[in-house]
Amino acid sequence: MSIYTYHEMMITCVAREIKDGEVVVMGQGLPMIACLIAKLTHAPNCVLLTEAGMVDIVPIKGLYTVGDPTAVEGFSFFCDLFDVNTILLNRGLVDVAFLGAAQVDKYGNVNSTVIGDYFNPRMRITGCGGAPEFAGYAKRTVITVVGGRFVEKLDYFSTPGYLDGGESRYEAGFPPGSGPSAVITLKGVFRFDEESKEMYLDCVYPGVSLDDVRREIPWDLKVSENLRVADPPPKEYLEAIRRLAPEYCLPSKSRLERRSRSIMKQLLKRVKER
Amino acid sequence: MVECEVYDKVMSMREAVKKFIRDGLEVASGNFLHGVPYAVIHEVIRQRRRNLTFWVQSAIDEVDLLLAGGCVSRVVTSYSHKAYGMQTELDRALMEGRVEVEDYTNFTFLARFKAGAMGYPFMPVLSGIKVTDIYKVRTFMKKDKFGEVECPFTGRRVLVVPPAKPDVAFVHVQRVDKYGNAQLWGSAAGAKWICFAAEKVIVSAEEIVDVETVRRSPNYTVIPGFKVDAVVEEPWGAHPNTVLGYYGEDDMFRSIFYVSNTNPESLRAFMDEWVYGVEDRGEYIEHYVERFGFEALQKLRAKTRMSESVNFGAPWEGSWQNGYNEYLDVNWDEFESVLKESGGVVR
Repeated sequence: MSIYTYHEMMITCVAREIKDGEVVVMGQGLPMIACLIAKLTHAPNCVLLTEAGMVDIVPIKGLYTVGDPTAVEGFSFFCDLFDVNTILLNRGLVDVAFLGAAQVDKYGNVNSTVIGDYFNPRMRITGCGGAPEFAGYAKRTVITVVGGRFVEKLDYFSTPGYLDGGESRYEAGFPPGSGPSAVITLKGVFRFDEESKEMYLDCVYPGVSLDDVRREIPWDLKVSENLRVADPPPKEYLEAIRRLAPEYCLPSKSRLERRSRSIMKQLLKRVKER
Repeated sequence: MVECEVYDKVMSMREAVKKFIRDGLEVASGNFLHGVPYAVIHEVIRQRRRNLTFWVQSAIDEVDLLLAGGCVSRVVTSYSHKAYGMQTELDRALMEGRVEVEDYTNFTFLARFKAGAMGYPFMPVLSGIKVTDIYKVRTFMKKDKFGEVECPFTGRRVLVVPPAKPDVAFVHVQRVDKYGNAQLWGSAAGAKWICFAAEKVIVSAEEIVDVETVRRSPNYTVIPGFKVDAVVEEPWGAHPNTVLGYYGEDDMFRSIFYVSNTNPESLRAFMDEWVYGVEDRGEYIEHYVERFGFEALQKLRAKTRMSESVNFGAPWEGSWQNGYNEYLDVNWDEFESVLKESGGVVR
């Protein structure tokens, strides 16, 4: 395991956001894989849950969706989606929530609903799912951006970050101290200024330049005085990621190509057999 | 024993849809990314229902299918999956103005059904989302999407949603008995609340089991029979989605759909082959085997991993143990004489 991909680097950084023993709401896709990896490496006592009501799951592979009960070796508490949002989330029992973003602004507000005008859209995205409440009421939030982009102004405001910065999030009634703690992309990790709540670059991946990052940011990005280069994924993380979810190690274009080829192969095999 | 007429709820999907789902109704799916009720959805499309309002908490491709069938004019949801950013039927329907979508969050969506199920006039939700466009932007619900009340105890403003009361809910589960006692395990998200909120409920299941099986494990029942109007046995009723203990996600078939969904012609071909081209779920699966081979289907079947059974036993079998009731210190054979001495006999 002498090589690793940017996707593996990113999954490792997302996983590192979880501390052992924390209660974690997993988001769909890559962040979900990262949560599973944390459980299998440095955070064996974290409690992973999905909004469908599966609490404290033990993973055997990547979940297809947050409602997929076939990717687990069991879980210890069964409840419904209303319970997750009320008796767990609203009572402050959720430490960290993960979510993917199609658009994110400098205060960590997220759009996952639509590109273009809502009533005359260029493209519908997935919709917000459960993210607005989780990002609103978990003690902290980690946002991941894979296919998405940074924008000055969201096309649609699905999910609250620090709103207009400063104290505005707390003035709107969200729990004190809550809010996004990191935005993680395929290039690096961003964090938020304690006062202004504006996003700044905290860490880049090996081989990524500041210009590479700046090219994706439409505003004048602030950069940490102590900008770090991320520690490469340790062997045990790479091993865990590749065993659990090999498809997430590849860039999505290559993943899609391989997937299409594999399906064609299966279909051709069927045709030949008949 | 008094004989009473029990209305026979067991029927085919064709009958169930014909009987309960009519044009213009509000219909709701009870499944959340597990046990997606494709058998019902395909039948609704085959029967060419029109103008439905479709409530679905989070969809994979249910919305796309129903739009392709021309069945729905309004959708209430919080999520409809999009693979690799590829275009979907929902994208096209929005651009062409064929559908109106009202966006909720997963929680506020379900809160509406919980209020409906419980008979409450509204349900408090987490007020913070007032800052988002989920609250601010409204399509057809206008002032009925969210409301605010003052808490009588703290004086604080509380965000609330009104009850949802769909005409029909449908849900796919692992097993059901002929009375409609429906058992769902693994993940159930909002099935109970969505079905209780609805006027009529259609349950489809991988298998119909006898009532004794249900009564031995009542904790798995999410909807009691007396709230259910139609019971349909539909093996593979949620294919290509998952039913825990029966089968897993069919990623290959799913991918074929995603690609078909990117343009109207290929989607039409998909619908012709897999929805219009078959009579019912049985034919659908036969066609699958014909097309991809029996092995492909077998690969999806769940391995066995039985739950630990628990002891539902009590220390007694009834009020009389071996003909003796300890509470009254009396034998069964002597009971009538005790009644005679009791001073309460009707003369």
